[in-house]
Amino acid sequence: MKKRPFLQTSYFYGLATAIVSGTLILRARGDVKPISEVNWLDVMSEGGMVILAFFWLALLLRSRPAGRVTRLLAFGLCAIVFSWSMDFMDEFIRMPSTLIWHNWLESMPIPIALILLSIGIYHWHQEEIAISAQMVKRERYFREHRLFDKLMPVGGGAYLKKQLKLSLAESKKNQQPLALIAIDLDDFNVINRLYGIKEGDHILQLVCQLLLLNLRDKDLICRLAGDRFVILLHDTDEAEAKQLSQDLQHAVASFAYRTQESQQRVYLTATTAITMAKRDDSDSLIKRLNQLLSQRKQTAAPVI
Amino acid sequence: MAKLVKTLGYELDTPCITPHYQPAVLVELALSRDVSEYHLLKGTRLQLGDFEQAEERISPDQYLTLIKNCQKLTDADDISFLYGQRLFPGFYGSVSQALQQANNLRQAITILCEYHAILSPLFTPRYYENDDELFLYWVDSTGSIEQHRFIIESYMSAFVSMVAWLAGEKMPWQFEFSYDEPEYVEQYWVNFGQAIRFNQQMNRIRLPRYCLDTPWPNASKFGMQGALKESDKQLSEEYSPYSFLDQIYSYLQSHIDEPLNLDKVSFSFGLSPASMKRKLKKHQTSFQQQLDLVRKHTAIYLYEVKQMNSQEIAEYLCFNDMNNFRRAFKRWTGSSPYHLFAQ
Repeated sequence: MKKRPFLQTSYFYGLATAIVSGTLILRARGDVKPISEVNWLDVMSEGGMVILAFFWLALLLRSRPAGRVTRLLAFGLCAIVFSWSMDFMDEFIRMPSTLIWHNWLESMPIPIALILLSIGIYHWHQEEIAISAQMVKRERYFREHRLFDKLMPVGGGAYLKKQLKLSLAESKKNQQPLALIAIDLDDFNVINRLYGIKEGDHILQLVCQLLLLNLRDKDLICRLAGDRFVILLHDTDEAEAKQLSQDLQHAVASFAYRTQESQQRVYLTATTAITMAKRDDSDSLIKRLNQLLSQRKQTAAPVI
Repeated sequence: MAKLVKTLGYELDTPCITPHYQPAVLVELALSRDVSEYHLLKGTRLQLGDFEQAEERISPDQYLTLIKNCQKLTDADDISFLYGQRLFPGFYGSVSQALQQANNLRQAITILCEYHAILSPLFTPRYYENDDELFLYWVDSTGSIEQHRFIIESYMSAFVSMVAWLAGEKMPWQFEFSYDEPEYVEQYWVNFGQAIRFNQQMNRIRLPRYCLDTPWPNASKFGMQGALKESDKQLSEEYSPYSFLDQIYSYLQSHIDEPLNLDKVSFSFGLSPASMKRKLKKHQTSFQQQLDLVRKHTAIYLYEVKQMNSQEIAEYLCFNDMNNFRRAFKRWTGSSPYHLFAQ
């Protein structure tokens, strides 16, 4: 994976300016402590806090796209970094005890920061709900980013196994049927050879989107491996699953893909297999599904 | 006994691999997955330009480092399989042409095995047949323990994908792997089908013999013969048609019915026992390991092809005492001869 660049650098410049001017103000009014008077334990702990807060800010800015929620969280964290770094500077600069306002530099930003962060986190919560609604066919109330597929916006094989365990338990509890569809493109190997792997990857990404469009909200799609996708159908009987698998096959067959380079039309077909969860565990279920698919591959005529 | 081996084959650090052959395919694959060029080539002492210039050869060691980097950076279970799918017939001069025009599966396998120094420099494919099946197995030729699984996955899927492409149909083969079932076994299902077994004695493909001689649609008899002639020339320009470990394996295999020891084998290679030991150590192996490997493979061969029983196999491998043989066999394979051959 390519590292993401820092796009929102203005926060760092603003923060640096604030810290430098704060330090200059402190320095102008106070005296530098002699080395012997510095409490090194405090220096270490307060310095550590500044570094950690800065690390949170950097991670936030690096991972999130710009927007209202990011802005609120970033301002909150900036205020915390500023306040803690003023606290840190205190260890080296002694302020005359007659001065009251110097404490403000330390303590004023904190309540502001906490208010900003609270508002930010509240909106983040709203945002998560909105995003989860969009992701519903891909994750169904269980997220583990380490199991995301590297190429597609869906989970990979390991994620499927996790989800299948959850679904098996759920369908057992609710006494609902659970169906599985495996769908595999025919001769995808040939497409990779003819048009190159980049084109192949692109086709797979589009097919994945296409399949997503044809699913209901209660279904879940994962990419098992290569050009094979597995779809979990909750509360679905065999006839419904059959209908859905045919719809998917038709969708793939009528997908008019043109290659990116030469605008050549590529004709795609897919083979599907269906199985119902009976009294088996997730491993044997996936295995059975794949065996069925291998058999179908050798016998079934493609749907055009 | 006279010195048998005239020139020693390529070793882990011999510059013998053409960078714009298999290594370049890997680099392109990794770059297409947005891996940073700097990190990909780190530790390989290579630059992107080296793949274009085609002037200097690289060593298996550099190639292996490249594989390691690629594995780490792409962090995807399907990379080895995708790499394999792009390997054969490939663009490796006339050898690739010969493969492309192979008349049938048997010919493709012969070409793959004969020109393995060009086609599969890190693991050597070998085969034997009995009345029903052909067994195509891969043996490590440069001592690559860390990248072992990656290479097996890519070389096997290279072969499978090439045959699917050239034959135009799926073959009913069975796969055996010497290692545990990996976490991402679904990649094996999608690429190799359901007939796969792990924790076996060898990394090999079993093919029913009736598939071997069915003519292929792309076949060209003259084209292939001509390409093979040129391939011989191409092979003679290589550093060596074998790796050092290949030579040891072949030597041990052809002398397995005699008592063998380090001194005797070293002498045949024109090496002192000390430098033989040193060379083997460089490839992360030892004389005893190599001998055990060949004995194990020979025992399986004698059982599967010559249909010998344990007693006869023990005699062939110069064991006078059956108990000794059973103990040794257990050490090579992890199970007793009775148990293994009963399967």
